Amino acid sequence: MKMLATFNVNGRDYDTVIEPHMTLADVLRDKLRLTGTKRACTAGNCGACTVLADEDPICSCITLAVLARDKRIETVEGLAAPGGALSPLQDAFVKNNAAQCGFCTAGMLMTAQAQLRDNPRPTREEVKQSISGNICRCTGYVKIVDAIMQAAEEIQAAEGA
Amino acid sequence: MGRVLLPFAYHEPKTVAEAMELAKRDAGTYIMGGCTLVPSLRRRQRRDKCLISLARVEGLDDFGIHPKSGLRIGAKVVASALLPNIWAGKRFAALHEACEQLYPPHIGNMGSVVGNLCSAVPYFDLPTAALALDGEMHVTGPDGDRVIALEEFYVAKFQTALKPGEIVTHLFCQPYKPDTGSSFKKIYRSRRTIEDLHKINAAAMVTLDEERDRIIDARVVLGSWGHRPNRYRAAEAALIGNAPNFDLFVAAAEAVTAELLPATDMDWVEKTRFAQARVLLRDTIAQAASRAKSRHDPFEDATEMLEDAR
Repeated sequence: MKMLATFNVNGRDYDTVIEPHMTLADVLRDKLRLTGTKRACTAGNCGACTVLADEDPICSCITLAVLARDKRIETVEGLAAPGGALSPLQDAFVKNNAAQCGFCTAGMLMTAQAQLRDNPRPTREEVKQSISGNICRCTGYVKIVDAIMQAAEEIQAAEGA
Repeated sequence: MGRVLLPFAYHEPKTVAEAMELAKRDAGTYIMGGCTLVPSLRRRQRRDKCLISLARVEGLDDFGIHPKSGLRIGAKVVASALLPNIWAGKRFAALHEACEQLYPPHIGNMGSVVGNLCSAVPYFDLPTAALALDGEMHVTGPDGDRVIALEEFYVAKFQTALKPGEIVTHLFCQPYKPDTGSSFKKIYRSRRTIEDLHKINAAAMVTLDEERDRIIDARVVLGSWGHRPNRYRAAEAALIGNAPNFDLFVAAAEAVTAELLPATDMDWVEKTRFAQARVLLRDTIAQAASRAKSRHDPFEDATEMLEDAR
């Protein structure tokens, strides 16, 4: 049962042919070639597949693509500026060495992005709470939390300037 | 896991009548967020041939929470919608806390409250909390509308009292009586493993008399133990008519554990589980009573009251 669907991803409309049993992660990676979003546990446990739907983080591996057609999807590819300049959040991840293997990083970035939009001045505890659905097996989370805190400060400073 | 989903037919009806017609014609299963259904399909626990999405059905997005009119949550309302609502936090704290503690947090943005209740998974949190709040499911179906109290809603593991084709339109909880507090708590087995499901969860609702020194009504619910969350009437009877204090909460928790059956034949596992259930129930009831007494602040915990009692 193939169907034509339009997805709004990172502000751009993509037309593609999907089937109802495809998940959003399948469509993003295999149809739209946006491979920043990772498939890992495919059960909604690890958060590597996190994307934003209408600015809220969701697990794209257990979301049917047909159910996400009328939402505004944001993936990690949409964070950097069109010229390729990293966003303050990505920049903070680089400066703090907040990635080792990097498999969880796309999900971490999207979750953090949603949190910083909702709460531009989070505490460390709030950051830990918000990324509690994103599993990292390498870093031990300290550097990731450091990076998000630094990004929050930099965004605040840039807005205040 | 990692297996792909098997193909299925998919429909997107616009009205409840159309959805019921499709369900009858194709023996379809309703889907809203899919947080429980999609992993079950992937694990081959279910092999549904036809899914009927309720996402575009009109009239299922009621959302009203008020101390005077109660709580009314439509089938399409996601769990995270409750979080910023002040009355959910103040007057329906058990359900609010259960939504707040959903793991992973992303699930709250995807899964609907009613979907979570309808999936009838024995270890889920929201059924325990909604049962403590005396929730009822308003159902529409081919044979007309009906109301099912949550206590009768769960028939067995993964099974509800819904007949084929019936749709739950909304969850309704009665408005609180005065001087009532509720609470929800859970214990995780461990964090960040694939079996990262809570080991036990408990919810309680306590109503005090006008002077706020006697309990006049109580509901004590324990989940993740057996095939469905259950009310424990012996514990409720132990609470009613007495002054809320630490010893009473301990006695009520003992009354619950006296009714529980072991789930395994491993002695050390059961000792731990029973001990955890006792502590969890004691603290949950204490927090609900504390909230009833203080007319209450949702973020207040029972620590102060427990310390006083000691």
